[in-house]
Amino acid sequence: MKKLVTLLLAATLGLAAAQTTLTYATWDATREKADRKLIAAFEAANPGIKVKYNLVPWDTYWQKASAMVAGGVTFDVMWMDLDNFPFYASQGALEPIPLDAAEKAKYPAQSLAPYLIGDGSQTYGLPLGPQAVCVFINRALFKERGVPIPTTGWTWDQMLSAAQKLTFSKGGKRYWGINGSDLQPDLEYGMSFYYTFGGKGIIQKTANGYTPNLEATFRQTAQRLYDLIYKYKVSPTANDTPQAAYQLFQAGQLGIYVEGTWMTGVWAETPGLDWAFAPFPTLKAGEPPRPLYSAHALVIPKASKQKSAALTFARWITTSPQAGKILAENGLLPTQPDPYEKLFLNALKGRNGEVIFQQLKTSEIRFSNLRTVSNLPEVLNALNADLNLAWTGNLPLDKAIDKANTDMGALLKESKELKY
Amino acid sequence: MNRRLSPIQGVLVAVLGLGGLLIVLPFLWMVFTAFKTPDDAYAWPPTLLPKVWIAGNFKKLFELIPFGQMFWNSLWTSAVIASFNILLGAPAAYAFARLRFPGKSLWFNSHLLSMVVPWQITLIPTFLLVRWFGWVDSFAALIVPSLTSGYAVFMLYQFFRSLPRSLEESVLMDGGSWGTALRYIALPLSSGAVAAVWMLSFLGNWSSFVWPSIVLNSPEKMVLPVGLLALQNHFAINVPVLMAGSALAVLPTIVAYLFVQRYLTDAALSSGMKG
Repeated sequence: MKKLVTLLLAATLGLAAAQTTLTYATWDATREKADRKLIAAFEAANPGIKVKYNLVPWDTYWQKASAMVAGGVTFDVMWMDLDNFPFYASQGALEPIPLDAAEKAKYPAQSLAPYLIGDGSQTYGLPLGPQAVCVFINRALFKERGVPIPTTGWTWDQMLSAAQKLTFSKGGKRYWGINGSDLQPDLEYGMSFYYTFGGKGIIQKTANGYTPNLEATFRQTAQRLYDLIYKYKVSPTANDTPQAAYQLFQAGQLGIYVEGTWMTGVWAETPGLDWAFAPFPTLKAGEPPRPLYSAHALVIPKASKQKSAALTFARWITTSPQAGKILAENGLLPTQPDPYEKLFLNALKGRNGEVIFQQLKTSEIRFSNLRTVSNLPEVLNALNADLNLAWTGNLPLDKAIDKANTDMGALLKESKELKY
Repeated sequence: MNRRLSPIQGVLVAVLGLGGLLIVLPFLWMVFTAFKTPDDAYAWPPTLLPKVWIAGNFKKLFELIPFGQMFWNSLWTSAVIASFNILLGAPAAYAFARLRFPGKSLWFNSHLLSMVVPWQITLIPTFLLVRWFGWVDSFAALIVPSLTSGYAVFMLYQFFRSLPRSLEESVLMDGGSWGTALRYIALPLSSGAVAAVWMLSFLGNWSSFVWPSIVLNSPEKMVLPVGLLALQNHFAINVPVLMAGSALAVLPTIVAYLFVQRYLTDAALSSGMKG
């Protein structure tokens, strides 16, 4: 009996010792179902590791992250975005991730590059699937107004013409063509037009540091986007409605909505909405669009007590075929999307998802080459605040851009190269 | 009895009625939106009543977050904290109001200081302390730092000071202690103030967001305000589901108010100060 008890105790202790529990934190509620499926599949494939899912809303995610990092108690695997990555990396809060050449090859080079530090030998984040800026259309509204459904080679002029036809009033309701208020060219949606129209980047590196580059392409793009609101009046302003553009789109009162692939989960809440992806418009038919995409990553905080298991989990989510399949089946793009195209298209059947794969071939990551500018957030805030004066009708656009040029220039003079 | 209103009274009733409606309207809006579909809720111009009444948002609420567990967590932790604020705050306030002791002014001012220092300043030090105790992701982290409240001490101190000393002096002359005077004279006479402080503390903790969001991680320990925010993602909020959660979340505050309402409205009568 004594032996049996001892054996049972030893077995229990052994099991307890072999079991590792990881904490995994994300801010993205749109993929909660997929994340839970990923965790279940990972736990089945790795019986010694349990993963605890933590959904932290975006607004508190970074507050919590900074308090936890300062306090030395963190989640084991965390979502990271490129705007916040420099701060955490430069504070030494992240664990370097060992990746040999073969493992690096499993990641898209463009998405991995911003998370490589120094000479590129050290990796501090494993990129998740691309979250691409894209164009949604309300097909029912297009059909009702006799507007042709966009096909490959859709141009800006065609989009503008469609937006004009989609702006009308009926039954006491106002319908709008496009969400121009969200298309300030410093934000990723407006900036996607800037890159597509030939922009090279709004900050350039010189021999003496960095300078603003709000050149002709930027000004022309800003003017085109601004005219959607103030010249053509095909976009609602805050005076027209307090509803956010995605709400108007869900209510069926917005024809064209420029946002990101992550909204597909939101559209599922309104089953009657006849939405589809549309090609990102270019200036001339046949030109490749260059909309932006976000490359969030999984990072392992230095304070994690389960680094080895955390690494296993982060690698599994970002590179395993099983994880790729689960994500694509849930209408999400895995880290390497191409092998899972069919599954993704099947999950979003009839929504013209092919255009996302087409545009990803020429897409860009915003400011991926500027992550070492020490005061980049302040510079971008200044640009945002100045352009917002124009977007809210408080300053002529050309004056707002001149002001932004001056403000950004002054801040960039003070910037330093961020050392990791 | 003449029931006719004078013109001035009529205007006053109309103005007050309008004011009352303005206060009630957002609550009605919340409740009606909880029964709308998203496209109905987001339509512009808006309508107060749903086109089609649906109860699915409440079902979805319970599917998306462990609402019942979060509701219970918020309820009992808020009640415990509010009760301890009274239990620990009342003797301190009474001592400040009635006793003389060395450093009294320093101690009292330190309580006042805790009210004026912004919470952002104490956030990380408190987190470090909680972490040192090993309380991260536990209810102790949520409750212990809030057990005492400078605000409760200050409010009760103000009220105790306004009580006539003669009532307590009679207890002391009969051989009673300051503790007896507090328990049998000061506290019963201050039931309105105690109820108000308890209620305010309960409401403050019921809606507390930042601290729980930092010290708690596990969904099974999470409180309602943080849980409700999890209904929104970075770019969009499902407003009808959020309104369903909010409509349920205000219920305890209404019930708590109904319980202490009598004490609040009778505060002046029960203070022993009536003419």
